[in-house]
Amino acid sequence: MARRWPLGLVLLALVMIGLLWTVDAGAAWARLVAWTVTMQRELHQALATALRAVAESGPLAGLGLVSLSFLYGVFHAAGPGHGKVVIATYLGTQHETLRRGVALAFASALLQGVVAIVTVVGTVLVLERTARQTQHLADQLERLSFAAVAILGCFLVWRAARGLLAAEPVGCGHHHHGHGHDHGHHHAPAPGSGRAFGAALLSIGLRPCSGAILVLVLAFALDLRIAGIAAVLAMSLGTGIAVAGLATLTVYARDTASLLAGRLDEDGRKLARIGQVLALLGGLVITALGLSLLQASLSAPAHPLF
Amino acid sequence: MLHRTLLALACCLPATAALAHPHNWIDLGTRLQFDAEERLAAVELDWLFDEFYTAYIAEEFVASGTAPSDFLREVAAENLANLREYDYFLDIRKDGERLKLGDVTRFETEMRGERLALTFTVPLAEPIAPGADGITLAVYDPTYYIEILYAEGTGPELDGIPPERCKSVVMPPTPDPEMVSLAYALDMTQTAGDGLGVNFAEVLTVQCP
Repeated sequence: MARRWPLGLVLLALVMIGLLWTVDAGAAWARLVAWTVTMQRELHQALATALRAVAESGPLAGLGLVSLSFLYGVFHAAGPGHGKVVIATYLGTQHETLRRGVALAFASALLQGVVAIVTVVGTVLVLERTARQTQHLADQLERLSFAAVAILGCFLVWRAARGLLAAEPVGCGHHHHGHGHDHGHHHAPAPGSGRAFGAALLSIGLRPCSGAILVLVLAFALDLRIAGIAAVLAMSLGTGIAVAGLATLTVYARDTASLLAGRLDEDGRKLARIGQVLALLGGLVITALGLSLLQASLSAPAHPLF
Repeated sequence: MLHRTLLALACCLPATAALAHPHNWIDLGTRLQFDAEERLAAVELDWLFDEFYTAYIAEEFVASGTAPSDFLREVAAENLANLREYDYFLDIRKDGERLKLGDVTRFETEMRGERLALTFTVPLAEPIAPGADGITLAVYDPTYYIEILYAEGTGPELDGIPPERCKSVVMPPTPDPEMVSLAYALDMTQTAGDGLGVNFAEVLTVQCP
């Protein structure tokens, strides 16, 4: 009886946190959005000024541009975005290690930057089209990336469903023995799927960062190609760091929840099942997200000014 | 477990809003033109685009700061034609009801230093007297991809009416958290996040008692 008490309290606390989050998140979120909008405007103006400075005073002013771009990257990542939702849901419900989560954050941020560079270089230099056309190419890439989100979701659902249907759940050989260090082991299926990782990477990274494209187009117009590319890579690094922070938090939260739940479940079997159900739910959420983003992107008319 | 699922679902809602984040800015100027009967007949809008948008449009001319006027006119005409179905981002209301607008009557475009400028005049379908209750006027991109705010330190100008006749006040945007959350949530089911921008719009009220 005495052992049951703290468990009840922990459960109660979890439910309370869940309720508080759903009630308070809306207002806090809106405040955050309003603030990020103001900050973003100021950073954009500062970036334009920094680019002009490079044009006028030469490469040394590039240091200012690169550090500002880095800040912009960190900041941009702190705002809302589909990549972060995918990463949080993916890492929160699938069995991935912290190291791979962090790698995913950095790789996807870098890919976003590289895709932006290839988009602008491709349309302006190679195809000799107008900068306006980069927007259309970026829109296509965005759709591709949303489709990849849906594909990732479907793959995760399929993988989890296979695990659930199997007589002996995959990756569940360990018996729980109450120590902190083995908590991750209950989750199924086993980590290390390159396909899921690759799909997650593409679903986030294929969509070129709009801020990066803006900076590149202005840099190219001012004939500052190297400075523009350096700025975008600095942005990617900033974004990577911020998203890696999110990935770390998510993995710790997942492991803590799984550790706490592990105390309720003596032999770890139920927990493994729950892990698989969660993985399935995560896959469903990601599928729904991808499909709704794709639908919104396809049905959205072109912006009248682009 | 449940709260994590809720959390994951809650995260989904604002996802598409990322697309609606402003990425370009316009410094706004407005001139309200009144007719002889002191009715609002037309609004002249002055848009000063940011350097990034300027680079999109006039990449070849950004470095020099000058662009051929026929090129700029062509782009401006195309943009205004596209903007027609959005009422040129101009939202004028009397007693909360949105007033009908006509087609642009005249426009000018130029490079103003490093930035592209577009000035155009939108007539009201029927001139309207603001009266004591007044009218409201807001200029915003409904998708909020572009943020449009009065240039710092400027406000609306009233033309063709004695300055003491009317009182005009610009209210800064007051995005009510609940409204913003709602707008973001609606994003999932409605197209292109229409209805988001209005929450971040400055609203001009003109009263002529």
